[in-house]
Amino acid sequence: MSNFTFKEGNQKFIFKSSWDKVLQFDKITDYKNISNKVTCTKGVDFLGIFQGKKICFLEIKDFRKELKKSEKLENVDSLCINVAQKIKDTLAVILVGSRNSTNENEFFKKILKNFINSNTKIFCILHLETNNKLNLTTYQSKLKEKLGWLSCKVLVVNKDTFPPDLDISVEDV
Amino acid sequence: MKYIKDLSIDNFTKFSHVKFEFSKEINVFIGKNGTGKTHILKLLYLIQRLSQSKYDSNSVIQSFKTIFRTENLDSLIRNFQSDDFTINFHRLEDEKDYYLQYISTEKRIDYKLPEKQETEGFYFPNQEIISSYLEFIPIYDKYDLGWEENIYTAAKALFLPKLKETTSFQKNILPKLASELGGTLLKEEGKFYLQNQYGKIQTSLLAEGEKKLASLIYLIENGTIHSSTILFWDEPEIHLNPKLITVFTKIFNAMASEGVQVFLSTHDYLFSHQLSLLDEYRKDITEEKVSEIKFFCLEDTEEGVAVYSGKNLTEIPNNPILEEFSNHYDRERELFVRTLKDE
Repeated sequence: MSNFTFKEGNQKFIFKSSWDKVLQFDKITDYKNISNKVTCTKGVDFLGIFQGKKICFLEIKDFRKELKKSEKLENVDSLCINVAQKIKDTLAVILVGSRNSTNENEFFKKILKNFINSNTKIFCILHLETNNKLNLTTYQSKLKEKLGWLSCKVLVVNKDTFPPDLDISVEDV
Repeated sequence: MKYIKDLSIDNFTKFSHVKFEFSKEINVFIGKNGTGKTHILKLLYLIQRLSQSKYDSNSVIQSFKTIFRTENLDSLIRNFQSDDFTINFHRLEDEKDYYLQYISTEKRIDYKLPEKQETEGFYFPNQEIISSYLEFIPIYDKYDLGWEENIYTAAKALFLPKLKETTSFQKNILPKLASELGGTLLKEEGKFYLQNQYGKIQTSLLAEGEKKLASLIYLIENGTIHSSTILFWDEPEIHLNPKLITVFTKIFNAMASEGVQVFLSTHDYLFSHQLSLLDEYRKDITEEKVSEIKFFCLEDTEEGVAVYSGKNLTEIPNNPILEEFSNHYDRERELFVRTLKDE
């Protein structure tokens, strides 16, 4: 399979052969159709299918961009709530897209079919800019708490702790 | 001896040769189990205690036996491989060399200690005693219970009444503690109660953390812990939930700012990092005075325990608390990837 390459913030993400398909979710038409009408809608940065059936939500947190947008950085709790909301809204878009999408209908149908199978594994990955492993642990514990309803596996990483097995490379642009 | 300035140890328990240069405010010992943190605290308590009275050689030996709970001082010699151990120390107020040297072949201890000092040391016990101290004292006096002597000392201290006049130390410290107890501490006919909106509750019915808080409050109210105290506390985080750990961090900082020299050991991530944060952001913290803090990390090596010191945790290599949290993150990441790769 060919790679999926995207630019997100100041970084380039390359999803390699383990990934069947990846969407830069908050850029796709189906997401924009809903978010333009329901203004509080949020979506994750990337949604993908890993190794045939595993569903992955990937959110990238760029604190520098956040600081430019507002004066304050989010605290741990509000950041994790924000990520959980994005995943929740992304699921809503998947549901609608599997019915109505004219662009990615097959992809959404496949995700939905896997999602409703309770044996399918769901992974949520948050990529943070921090050198401090203890911060990653704190965000990890908090995000697991906020995503308890999803029965997923959660990992919070920085560029140094991104597991090679995820088959994603990250480059600064 | 108002402040203990430094301590050198040769051939004592886990220590081949180490030297500590202390802060006159807060000193924190971290390290894995068995690296000698409690022995350091006990040694400091011992030298402080010996400085409070006149002692002869036999009573110095007896003090070692009581505080270290050993029948024979030979067992305190490192690896039983030398004929003696030596403790050297200085106090901040003078340049005199003080020492304790045990010579095993002669079962003798040589020493030079400061003249009798007004400063008092207090070793805070982790076993709660506030709800049973009255019964405990006569039993300890009569029977060999094998309990730490500091429990008995604390029990006797709880027996004392409150001071007549409120000191500035009490005015500055007690309000910070009292609000956490959720009521007023009462002592009636020797027994302690918490008076709150629900009534009068015996301390035996309180949670362990609350008993610890109540004990600390009373020991300040009766002057046992005051601005000239040297306070020793082994793992104060025991029985405390994270919210109370935050309270105790503030209290140690406040007491040290009022003149208490604090020596404590901890295994707790939150407690150690909160103390470290005080130093890391010293210039930015304006709402309270930040005490001088010194961390000592004890690490077991083949040559004996090594000591790394720093003003905050960022200066300490191989912090065992941090290492284990870091390992925890790595373990979870490994499990995540394993699940990712499973069919």
